[in-house]
Amino acid sequence: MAKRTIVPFGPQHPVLPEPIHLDLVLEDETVVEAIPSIGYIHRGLEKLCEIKDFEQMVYVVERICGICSFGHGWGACASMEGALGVEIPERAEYLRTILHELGRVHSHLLWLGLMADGFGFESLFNHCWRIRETVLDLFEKNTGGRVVFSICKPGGMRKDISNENLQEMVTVLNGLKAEIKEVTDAFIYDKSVQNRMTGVGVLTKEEAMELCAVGPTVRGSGVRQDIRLTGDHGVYKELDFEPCVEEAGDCMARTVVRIREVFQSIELIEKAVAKIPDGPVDVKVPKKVEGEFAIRLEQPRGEAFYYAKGQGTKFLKRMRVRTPTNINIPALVKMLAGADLADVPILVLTIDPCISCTER
Amino acid sequence: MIIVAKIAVIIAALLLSAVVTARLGFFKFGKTILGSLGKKPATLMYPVVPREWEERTRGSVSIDGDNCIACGICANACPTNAIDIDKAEGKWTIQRMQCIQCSACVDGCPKKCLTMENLYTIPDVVKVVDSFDIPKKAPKGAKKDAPADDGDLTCADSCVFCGLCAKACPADAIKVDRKAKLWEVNTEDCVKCGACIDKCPKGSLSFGGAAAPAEDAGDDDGDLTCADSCVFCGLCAKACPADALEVNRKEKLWKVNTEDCIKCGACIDKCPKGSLSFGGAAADAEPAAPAEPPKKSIASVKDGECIGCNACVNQCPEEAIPPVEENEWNLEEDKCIGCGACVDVCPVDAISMKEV
Amino acid sequence: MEKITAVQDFEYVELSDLISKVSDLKAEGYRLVQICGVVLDDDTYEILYSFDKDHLLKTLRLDLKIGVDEVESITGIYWPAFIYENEIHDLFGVQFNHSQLDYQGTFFRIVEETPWKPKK
Repeated sequence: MAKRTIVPFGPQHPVLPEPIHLDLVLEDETVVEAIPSIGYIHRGLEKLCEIKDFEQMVYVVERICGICSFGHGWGACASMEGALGVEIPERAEYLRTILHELGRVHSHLLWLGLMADGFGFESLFNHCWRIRETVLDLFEKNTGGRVVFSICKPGGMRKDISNENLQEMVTVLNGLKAEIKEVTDAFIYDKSVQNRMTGVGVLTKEEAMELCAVGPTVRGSGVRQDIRLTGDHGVYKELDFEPCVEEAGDCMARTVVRIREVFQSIELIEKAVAKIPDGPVDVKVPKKVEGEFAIRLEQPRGEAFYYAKGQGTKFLKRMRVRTPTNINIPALVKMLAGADLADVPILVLTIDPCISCTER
Repeated sequence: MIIVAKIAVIIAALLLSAVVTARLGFFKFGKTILGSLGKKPATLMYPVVPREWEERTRGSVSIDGDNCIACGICANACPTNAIDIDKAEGKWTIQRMQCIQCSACVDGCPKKCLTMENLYTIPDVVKVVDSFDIPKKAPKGAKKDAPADDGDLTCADSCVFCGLCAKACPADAIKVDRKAKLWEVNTEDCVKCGACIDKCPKGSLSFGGAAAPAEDAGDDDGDLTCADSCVFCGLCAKACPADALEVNRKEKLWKVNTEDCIKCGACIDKCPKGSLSFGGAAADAEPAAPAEPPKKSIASVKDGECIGCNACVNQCPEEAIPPVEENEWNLEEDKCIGCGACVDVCPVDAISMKEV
Repeated sequence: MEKITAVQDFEYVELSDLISKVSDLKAEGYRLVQICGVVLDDDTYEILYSFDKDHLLKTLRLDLKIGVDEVESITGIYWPAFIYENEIHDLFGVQFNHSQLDYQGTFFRIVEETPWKPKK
């Protein structure tokens, strides 16, 4: 047996600004085992939700993550609307879907940039983020915030977005398509990128299901799993939604899933804008929450779980958020075993980790 | 020869694959890179080139202190407790570092004196706390010179369990059951806004024990009666928590169901003509109500003060006020019965009664 | 638009039945979605085990007496459960027995021990 070495990875590592710690057990250059541990940025946001009333709580939940903040706001609102027994107007549901998909475009572009940075393709990274900037400008125009939008509230939306602005959003996104295609083609067809990603970190279909992985991680392994198919949230049923699935299960497959989802999201936005009905965007909600409700949302990173339990006052007894990274960590650990030390940063990135999400 | 041919084929294949890869990969992206050489940078030369803000950009909260009524809704709505209001000193304070620009305070403000500015606060090395002057105001609930307002909400024995306080409570903290003669306050939910105290027809409510005595606790022994001055506006019926009153303006009918009447006096407070009383002799119009006009008086609004809230439109029993658009307030004078209901309901005191 | 609300499928499970019930779900092809701890009152925790099959959510509800009951770990059936079990152990102080990957309380680096546990 070769000599074993333990290499600590993180919490500070150039490839990932967020603190996750991995103890990598190496035999020569190969990782035999990886033991993750977290807790550097546990902020106790779930606990904080107990002392904020349920309307203020949305702002807290939104700040779990800076990338999928719209999804978190939506999830919190949807779980409370369920507990309150409130049905929100159709236009609000459409607007939420549109903004959520816009969030997916920006999240995936951010991730593509980080991935390019991870394997050392700096100019690709810069171009991904340059394009993402246009999407953030759209967010700022329509919601008032670039990262934290604060536009969801229990019972609907705080602000309506005019049909002209929605049309403009579609025009801008369609104009971006060509630019996005140029940079994403570099991911798919560039030989050096292929060398870094093809065949690396293979997760078979069986393993992915066994490890309960979610989101692009599991869809890259050929599993047709997407919470948008349930129709529990949003108007995906009206938009003929079909998830992007790749079979190979390696880093490249997961990247391709995300690239395809960027274009799919733009298409979904276009369809939703064409179908959006006029009408009010919010309804009045009761002031006290009773009952409980669990709902799941497909975030850019995968399935997120929200559970709200009321106690007959305006304060909730429990607000539970299970974020996608949380359940993708076991899949990451599995992928790392057998990988080269040099591939570890890429493999950590490939699940699109958000440690702030994980720890809340 | 065969070997040479084979090598040639391999080289050709390699070249071809290289060309294909290059065509699809490098050259494709190379176009973007080469194109970027001729373009201006994607970034702004900030701060030399100023950033353009969108209309909805949330930068920082600012206050127009003159209109503030120190109601405290913004401080209650703030999820980060960044806002403090000192009613006695007349100060509205915001901790800039704490503020998360969610704009919950701006949305909640009933006087629309808070605005969300596009510009962020200027970066600083200390945690900035900004303080603004607002009109000084005696704490709410203490205006009937009640001794203290620091305790929990309490209800005196004069309570008739009408339930108006529970309806007025914005926090749903009060529970009233008339049949069980139950009055309960959930002190955790109570935000001490004093809305219930203002509403209570008997003046039974107060903060911290000593209830202000009911103003007209004297002559409430008889049944509710209505004097001839009644204009059948129906406001008393609307105010009645027990649905004991019936008013029909066309038939000039005013009726009280004495069994249902709980003698809370809410109708007496509402009556614009001061026609109602318990036990016969009609009390005079309260001094707080608009002075009783000698002949006919109609509502009028001070120029530029209408905020277009439409509260008066909804309140008017005669639908004499058409919906206010762009703060253009109008009155159909022939419909106005001079009841003064709009005066009471106007949040900015813009309406007064004028004689014609 | 036909609005479909998420199906709420909660089912009580006894502490002794937990392992057999979870094994059954695994055999039926369910996927573990999450495990969540809830403080019901000063003496009781509730632990929710959520599972998914064909995009339908099913939740098992387990009541625990604080400081008395110890739970059998389900990491033998669903290995990824170690994330949640260690989290609940570190935040609530629930003891999970026979865990396949037990961090012994070092999963979360938090200043206060078991911050969710009701203070008596």
